[in-house]
Amino acid sequence: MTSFRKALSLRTSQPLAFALVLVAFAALAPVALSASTAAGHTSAAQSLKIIYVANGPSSDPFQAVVASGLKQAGKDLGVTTVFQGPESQQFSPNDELRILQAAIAQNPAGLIISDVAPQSLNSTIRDAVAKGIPVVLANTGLGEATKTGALTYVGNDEPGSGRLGGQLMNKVSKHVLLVTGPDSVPLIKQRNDGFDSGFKGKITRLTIPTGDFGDVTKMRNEIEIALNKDKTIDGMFSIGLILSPPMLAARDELGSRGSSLKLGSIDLGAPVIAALKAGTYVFGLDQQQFLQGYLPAEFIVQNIRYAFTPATPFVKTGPAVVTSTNVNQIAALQAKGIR
Amino acid sequence: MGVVDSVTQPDAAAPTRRGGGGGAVPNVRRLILRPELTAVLGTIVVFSYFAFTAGGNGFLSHSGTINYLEVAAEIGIIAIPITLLLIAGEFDLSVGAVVGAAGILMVYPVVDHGWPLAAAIALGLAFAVVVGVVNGLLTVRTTIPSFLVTLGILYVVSGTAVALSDRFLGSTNVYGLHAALKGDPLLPLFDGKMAGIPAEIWWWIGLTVIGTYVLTRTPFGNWIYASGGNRDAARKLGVPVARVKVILFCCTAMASVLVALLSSFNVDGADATNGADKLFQAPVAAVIGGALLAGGFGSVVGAAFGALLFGMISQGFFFTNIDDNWFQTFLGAMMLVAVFVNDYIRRASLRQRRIR
Repeated sequence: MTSFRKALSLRTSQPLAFALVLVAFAALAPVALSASTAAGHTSAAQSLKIIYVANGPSSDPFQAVVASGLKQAGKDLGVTTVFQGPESQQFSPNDELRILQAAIAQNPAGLIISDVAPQSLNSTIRDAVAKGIPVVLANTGLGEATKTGALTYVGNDEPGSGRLGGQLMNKVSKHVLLVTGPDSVPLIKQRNDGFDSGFKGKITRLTIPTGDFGDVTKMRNEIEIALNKDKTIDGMFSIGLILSPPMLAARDELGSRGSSLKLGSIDLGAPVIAALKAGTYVFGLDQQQFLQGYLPAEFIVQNIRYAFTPATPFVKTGPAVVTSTNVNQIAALQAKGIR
Repeated sequence: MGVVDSVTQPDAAAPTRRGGGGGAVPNVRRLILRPELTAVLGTIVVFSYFAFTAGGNGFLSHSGTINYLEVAAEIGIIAIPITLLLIAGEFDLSVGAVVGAAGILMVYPVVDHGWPLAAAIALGLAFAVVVGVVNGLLTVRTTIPSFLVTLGILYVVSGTAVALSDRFLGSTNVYGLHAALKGDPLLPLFDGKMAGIPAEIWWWIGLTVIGTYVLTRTPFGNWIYASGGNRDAARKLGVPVARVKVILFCCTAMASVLVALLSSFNVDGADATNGADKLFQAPVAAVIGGALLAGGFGSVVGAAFGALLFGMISQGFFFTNIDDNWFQTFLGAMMLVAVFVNDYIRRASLRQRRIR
């Protein structure tokens, strides 16, 4: 046998492979050890740990901005921040509940929670408050701060965004395809209702099930079908970042009819900014979600260090209107993960 | 018992006794050959890792432990009949859909029509039997592999659940379970705690014990092994292979219904889209526990450790505070480490025996 073949034979390869396993183990241990020792101590004031329990992964383009806001706050305030969210982009209260329970078990200095399913999460949030952990709700959970005992809620003015979106679409379109998700998600319902109140023309609602979120091709097809069904539609409005790329893709597929459609949406992201620059979009409403990672950390630290409490149950971070006139400045910040 | 013994220990150099029979002195090597140990050693390795790196961070606390045990329980309860079914030579992919569909089927009448829990459970179990019988009959009466049969049923059940709930309820979820069930006598059985440990975990432990007993101590257990070994030989020996398989498909569906019920108390409601990841996690736990995908070999206790391993890794991650972009990499790496440790030790001990 050649020496190479010998190495591959069962007898010698087993110890070799076992050694590899131990090396892998040793490699993983310091990574986790440094992360946990850096984040684990909650005794001294300068090593406070704040955990943000999100309703989506930090790899999601929307959540990534929140995560960078959280990180920046950690740097500016001198505290340790951790962003934890479930793996999938679909709303899953079950997954977020598990992460929240794990976060509470770590006894952090503060918790920032995205209250995406109040019926499922509120009782656990109240447990955290009862344990003496200062809690701030962020990103979703409008109206839940007083019910759960959280210090405040930092988020977008959802009905306001919907309404402003409707008002702005009113100026450019008579019949809008509202690309949205199911009303059973409180956040989505608030935006839908807001849009209904702001738009005066005809609305055709396309409800995409949350199970399809993340599958761009599938969503694009659903939008195309809706557009082809009714040729009087002259505008499209998407209520969230996850729906905007398929909306743009559907527009591209429809050639000349596509380019005549007026588009707008809630929430910015790279595709929306590119579309604003290209003139494909009329306007985008920026939730400024960087602040949803930044401000809650501020409030928690001020509460721990100086016993300050926010005097309002709702701190609005948006909407802010972005159009072709101010898109360039925003684009530069978007590249840095701030907008 | 002769036929069955050789089926359960295909690569043992010497016959070993299942169930720890009397007489033989405990022999470490003999112990290592048992299929259960495939998952135990890996679990110990992973647990040590987390205890070392995240122990100070709450992983070893009571609430931290309950946290991953609950996740493990939800996988583990379904993994038990999945293991039995794998031993009998069949797959059931439809569990992912049954969890969600059963959840909303049981929660909706309770919340919107004031049904007592007993009636809702009866409805859920009836649904499970229907799904199980359909899965089973399609598998035994045709030559279509159960993999495809149950995949088709998965889509049918999941799609119908979403479509019907959207149509009649306007959404795929229903909440408000605790309020609707105040004072119901069966509530503590599913939502209570004993010795500080939630019911979910007790159900998992209890069903694992029952599953192990059925598999190793009853004629039905023998029939399961026989069905997965050689179908024709089994039939000729008088084993009712078709009946065994249909019963097992009903068991996987019923386990899914139980998990749906238990988890609905955690989030105070149900969603028709819940539980989709169980279709993948339950068989993984079974295989980590020593079950062969080819059938004829497996262990319920092993599957329990497999589920524990899976739950420990996926929840333990959050206690390490590693950047959450690394979650999947971490999960995969830890799993590979765990199963490799087991495989290596198993092979090493087998090698030693052959040399002598």
